[in-house]
Amino acid sequence: MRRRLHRHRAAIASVALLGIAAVLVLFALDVRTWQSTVTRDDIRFRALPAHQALWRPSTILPGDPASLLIGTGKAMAYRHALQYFWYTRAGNNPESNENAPAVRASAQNRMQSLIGSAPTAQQRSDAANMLGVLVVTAPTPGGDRGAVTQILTRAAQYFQLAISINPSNFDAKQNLELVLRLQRPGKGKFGRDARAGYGSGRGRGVVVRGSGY
Amino acid sequence: MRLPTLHRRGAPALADLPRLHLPAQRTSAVRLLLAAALAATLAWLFVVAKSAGTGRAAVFPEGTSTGVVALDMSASISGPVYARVATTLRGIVNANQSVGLTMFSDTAYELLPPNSPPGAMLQFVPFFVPLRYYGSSPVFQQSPWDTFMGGTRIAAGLEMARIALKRASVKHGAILLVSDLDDSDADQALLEDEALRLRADHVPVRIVPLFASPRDRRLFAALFGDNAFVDPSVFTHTAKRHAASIAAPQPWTLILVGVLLVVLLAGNERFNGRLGASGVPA
Repeated sequence: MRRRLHRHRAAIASVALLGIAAVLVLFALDVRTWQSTVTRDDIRFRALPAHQALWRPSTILPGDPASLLIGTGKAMAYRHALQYFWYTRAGNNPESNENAPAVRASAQNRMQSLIGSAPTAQQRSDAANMLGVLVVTAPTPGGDRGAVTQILTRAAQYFQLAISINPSNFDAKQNLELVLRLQRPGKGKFGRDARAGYGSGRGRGVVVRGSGY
Repeated sequence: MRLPTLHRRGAPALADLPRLHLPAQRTSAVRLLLAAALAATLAWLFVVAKSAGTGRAAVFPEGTSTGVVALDMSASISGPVYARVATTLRGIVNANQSVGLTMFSDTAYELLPPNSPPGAMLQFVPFFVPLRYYGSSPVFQQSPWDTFMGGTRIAAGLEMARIALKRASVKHGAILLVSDLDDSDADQALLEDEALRLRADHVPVRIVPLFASPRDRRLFAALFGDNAFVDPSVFTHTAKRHAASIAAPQPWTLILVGVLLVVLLAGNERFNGRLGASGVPA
């Protein structure tokens, strides 16, 4: 048996190398699929933020080793959190039929995780800014004064955190300005302007490119 | 200069001793490796065994030093729900773990500080056990918080529990929320905020739902995670089911480390045993 293996060792080695080569080709294809899917879905998200099944490429190799090697986890977590933020504005998650409060809670969880784990300071700052937006836009039926004060204080803390992480985060600065004016509204035109922004979605970054409220 | 060695004097020199140099090194390496692995496994076993089987209640996550029960006393908690509250409280007492207790409705207050003896909770159980039945309706004794009952503000209860843990300087504390989860709409924003705070402070929350609606369960699963729920039936003991749900979790780590130790010992016997003299009659 050993002698036979020795005689055919070249053939066995070539078969093994062919197998490895095939796996590597499939792996390269999976990497390419990831690249094209992320590029395509980033554009899709800008046009249709509530589009379903974004950033989920159909890869060939089981267990998606390409994703593990490239390290897509954190980048995808940021994108999915962004989409959840948009679901909160739509009021539901079309993929799981979650209602508005559950979507808000999920979005807040994701943003809070990202503040500590996102790969770049800009993403961590954006996550803190969006968490502040989620907090300040939480519905407070009955207008409980104590609750509103607490929420504004917490939102201001998140906006300040966003600014401290990334001092060039203009959206967070503007959102902080709005919240501070709501806490202590002025009598002039600017104070009224801040009120208009709160709750009605007319504040900074409500358009596609921004991330404020 | 020749250094003194432990070699026996007068022993006959082996002609092919240099040829045994490589196998001797390999054997030494295997012996050292096995000895290090055995020592490390034994130390690991000791550490794992220290925390195993200490009777921590399954309602609190593993690694929790103590917990605070946040009990919903709003007007929606009454009648048949009381029976489940009583069972839950008894279950926590049976777990023999130090606890604290806060109650909440529209507001919250602390009844027992964290690290209170579990038996202290028994004094509250009679208020949730019916004195008698009027027809099929249970009649309960007057409780001190009858006038306190009102709407449901779960955020207030969780906040009080979190403050109680902080005040008692508990480092690895947890909160057990016992509620029907029918929270006031006005409490939504504060509840979300409190959930964020608890996560930031790394305070795990477990929930015993008291006949909660699927909608409310979904919301709380989103707030505190799907695995936050404790099935209320784990507290009950029936004639057919003897599930000791309030018990220490299975010590899987301990078992695995024990198996590893056995495997290493077997390896030691296999590779480091004395050479048998084949062909020599005993």
